[in-house]
Amino acid sequence: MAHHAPVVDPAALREDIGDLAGKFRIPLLLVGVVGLVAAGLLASLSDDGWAKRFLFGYLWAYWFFLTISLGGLFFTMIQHVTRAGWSVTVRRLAEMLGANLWVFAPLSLPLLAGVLFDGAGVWEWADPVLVESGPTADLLQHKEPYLNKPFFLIRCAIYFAVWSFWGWKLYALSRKQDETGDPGLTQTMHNWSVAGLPLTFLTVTFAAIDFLMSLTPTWYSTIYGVVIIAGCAVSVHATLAVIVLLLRKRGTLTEAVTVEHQQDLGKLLFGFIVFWAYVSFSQFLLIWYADIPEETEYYLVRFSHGWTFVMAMLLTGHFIIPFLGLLSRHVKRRDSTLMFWCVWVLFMHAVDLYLFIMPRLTHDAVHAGIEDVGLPLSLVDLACFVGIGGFACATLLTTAAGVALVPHRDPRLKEALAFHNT
Amino acid sequence: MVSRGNTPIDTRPNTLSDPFTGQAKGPAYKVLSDVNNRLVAPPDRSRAPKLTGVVAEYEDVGELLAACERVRDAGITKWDSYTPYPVHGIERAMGIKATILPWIVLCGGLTGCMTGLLMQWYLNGSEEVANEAGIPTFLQGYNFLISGKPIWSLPANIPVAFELTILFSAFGAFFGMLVLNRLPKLSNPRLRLSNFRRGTDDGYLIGLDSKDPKFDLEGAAELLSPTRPTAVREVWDVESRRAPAWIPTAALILFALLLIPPALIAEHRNTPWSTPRIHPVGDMDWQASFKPQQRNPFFADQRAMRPQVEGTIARGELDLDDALYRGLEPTDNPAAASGPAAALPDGDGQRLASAALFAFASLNQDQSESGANTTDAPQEQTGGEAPPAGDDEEDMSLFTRDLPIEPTLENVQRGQLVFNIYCAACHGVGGFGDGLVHKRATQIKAQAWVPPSNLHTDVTRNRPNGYLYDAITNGVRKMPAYGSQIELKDRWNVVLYLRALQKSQHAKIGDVPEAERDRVREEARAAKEAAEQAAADEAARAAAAAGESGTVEADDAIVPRGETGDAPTTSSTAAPSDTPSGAKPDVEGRNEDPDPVADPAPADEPEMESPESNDPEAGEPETDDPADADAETA
Repeated sequence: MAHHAPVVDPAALREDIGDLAGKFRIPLLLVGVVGLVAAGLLASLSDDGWAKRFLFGYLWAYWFFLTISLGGLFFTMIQHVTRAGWSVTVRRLAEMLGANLWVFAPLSLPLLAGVLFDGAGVWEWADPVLVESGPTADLLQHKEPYLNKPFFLIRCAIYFAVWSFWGWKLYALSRKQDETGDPGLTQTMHNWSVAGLPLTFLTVTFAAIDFLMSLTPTWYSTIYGVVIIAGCAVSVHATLAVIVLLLRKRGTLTEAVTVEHQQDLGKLLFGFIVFWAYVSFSQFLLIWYADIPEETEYYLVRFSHGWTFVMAMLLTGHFIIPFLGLLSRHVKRRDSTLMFWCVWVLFMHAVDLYLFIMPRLTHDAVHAGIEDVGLPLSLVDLACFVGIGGFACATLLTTAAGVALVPHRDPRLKEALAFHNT
Repeated sequence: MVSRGNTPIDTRPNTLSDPFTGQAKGPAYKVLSDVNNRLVAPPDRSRAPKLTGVVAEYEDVGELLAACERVRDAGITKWDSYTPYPVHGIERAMGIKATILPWIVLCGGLTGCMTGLLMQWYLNGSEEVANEAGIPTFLQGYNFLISGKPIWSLPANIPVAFELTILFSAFGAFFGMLVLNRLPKLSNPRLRLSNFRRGTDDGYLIGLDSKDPKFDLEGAAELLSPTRPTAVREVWDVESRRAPAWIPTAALILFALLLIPPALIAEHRNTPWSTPRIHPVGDMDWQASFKPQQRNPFFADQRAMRPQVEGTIARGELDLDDALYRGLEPTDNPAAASGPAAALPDGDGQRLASAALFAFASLNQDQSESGANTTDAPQEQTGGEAPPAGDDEEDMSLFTRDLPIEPTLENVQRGQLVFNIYCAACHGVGGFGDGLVHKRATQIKAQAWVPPSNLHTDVTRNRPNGYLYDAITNGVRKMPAYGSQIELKDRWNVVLYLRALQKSQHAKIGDVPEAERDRVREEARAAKEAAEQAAADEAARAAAAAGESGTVEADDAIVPRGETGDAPTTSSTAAPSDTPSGAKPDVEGRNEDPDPVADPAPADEPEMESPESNDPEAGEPETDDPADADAETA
């Protein structure tokens, strides 16, 4: 019965991912290279100019995997800050996702190159011609003290430094505890998380503004960063659940992670789906109600040219349907149903980011006088997704190789193993 | 176990065999009656104490869980366990099925959501349905247009629906929990057991209810003995009695009495009475003070409102300056002063010092005198001839052409601010009569809508400053008076700004500073070429582009097209009224005041939204409309 402390084989707690890294690292890297090359080739067929179309797809896929890893960092830090006991058995997976954040610095190079080479990037403010004499030149010049190339690159450096450092630091400390068993390290990790959590919130908010919101530099929303962070939280809980389910299918983590942890991941996923809907709708409602031209610009393009369908798809697919689907505890405790909803939500998260980024292409096409502009769906996006996914997964496997999947000498591990939903 | 008070405690070793039978099988349990039950003896001894169940005590949570499983397996249904804290797994040990509370909460949430949506739909979106169904008006919703949002719009309704979802979910959870737990329960005989309180501290208890069909004292003892309780106690209900019969009767009567006052109030509120109402506070209803417009026999003229004392003037109300306060030519000007003063009745002329009255009287006087062939009223009824051409100018001569404020840049900007707040809604930011209100009225084909004047016609341009000031202050035709909303100096600022605005659409190259002329010419040429280019491209697109550029130019201080000099440029359509300005002032005067009945063009053509389209009357310069003439004279 539940009140009896479970007996867990200590060896089962020290399991790692085994030969997964060795088997899949190289193929995944190859997939990454092939994906990006294919994306470049496909983009050359596009009407938008190959660099622009490629970079839009790239930005989207980049942010999909970036938000998951950032979510891993958030998850780790919040567990430390709240001194959570239940989550110890799944925390290592989130640590690994966070420790993988360094790879997004080199992966951002194409985007930064787009900034450096005039007019080749995705950002209007990085094009000197548009800043000088474009239709929105006034505003761009007004915002130039912030939205300029050197400052942007400096900010990117700060973001990647903060994320990579904290991701690595918390992972390293946790692994050190595996070796030494020093309970004092838990307090050390707590302290680092207390310092890093606000910093990460700020950097993610500003990164969202720099990378995504500045796609429409004439528009702003003060809740934008929160919406993105809600996306991070949604995607990381779905990803953690998917990883747990997959690993347990392989025969690892079967004893450490119980159906109770699985249900809790599902609960948090459910909660953050509601949170996502709340903040997304807040942003929409305020703009819709005020109906001020400088704000409605953002949603105007998203209610035309086929984007209305995507908006409706998000409302139903990212909120209403998974809300009802994940409501029952039985759904969260059964492997197959939880897996289904996690994959569903991850897909919707990708659609969400797509709606953040791609309408800018529609906007540009409309302003270029092209008629009958439709959704800019393209295989380029899929190829970018495969490419960046390949790189990110390959480095994730490298990060995880040979490391126990559970922080097995964490002082709160016993509490986590005995954790039981009433 | 510790002895508590005078309760006899079973201190025998909790070790052996068969209890409850009373046979000498060794140390045995005995079902104890708790003396506390008897300490409070009921006053009514006629009723025998009743056995309501037994309570078993345990020292360890493991024992409790084992005992629970045993009771569960015995098929007992009416029983419960009591622990100091929530025990994991106890619901399974007790065989408690999963609660239906989540379903109650879900139903509550859905009910709340639907309630919120339906309520808002009924309150603001049900007009059409209600009308079709023939529901009387007082049962319908309000159908307010708020912020220009649709009558029924989901985004606006979601916050309320969301809040009600949460509220009803919480109600479902809270009240559902109470009902499912059969709470509140005011009393339970078990609470009289002295050791029962250990269930909130360090004891674990199981209570079997005598209402269970399988319950009997010996059976309970047999069932519980193998679970090694430290004690098993009978629970006697010696306290509860039926309330005396008069209490419910009295309560019922009291309740009925309490209903009387609200019933009386309700009746009186809905009954028509022939007698006057009761005045509980007469001093307040009949006050000694006088109200406005009342009669006061104390004074010779019997007016309760006292006029100003002759020969005095209230502080801050010295408005002698006709030009500044009323936009009129100063009264010492013989042209204005002689006429009106002569027209006033003798004697009164001295007392009524208001120059505005002079002016107004003179205005009407002049009208009736000069238009000798016909009076005002027949003219507007018959729709007869237009007044003589000179009439308009003669009226205008009453108004000052001076500007009683300094024409500084600051004043112009202040005027622009005020103009954009108060005037632009109808007249448009550019003053072309194309404001948002007009566009909307055109769009919905408002029948009674009189299009606002285009302020760039020659007529308006040639109006005296004082006339414009007067129009702002007192209104003109359908335009309401803004005197109470815009303070005096700002009204003049608006006039000043309006002059600048008009100049911007009617400037000649000579008005441009020497140094700037070449640049202006160049820009004009470029704009012209661009316009021609666009026109050549595509007719439809050209129309849209022209509309845009027209709006932009209206905001500019200097318009490149002024280079052409003679073209007034308010309109790019070749309307006859726009070309030779000043030639037909009277006709132009008509055109400034279009009449929707005579000229329904704007109402029927919602696509006319560009500034140019606000000259609909230009197409019919010969409009001979009585309402116009009336408007001018009024």
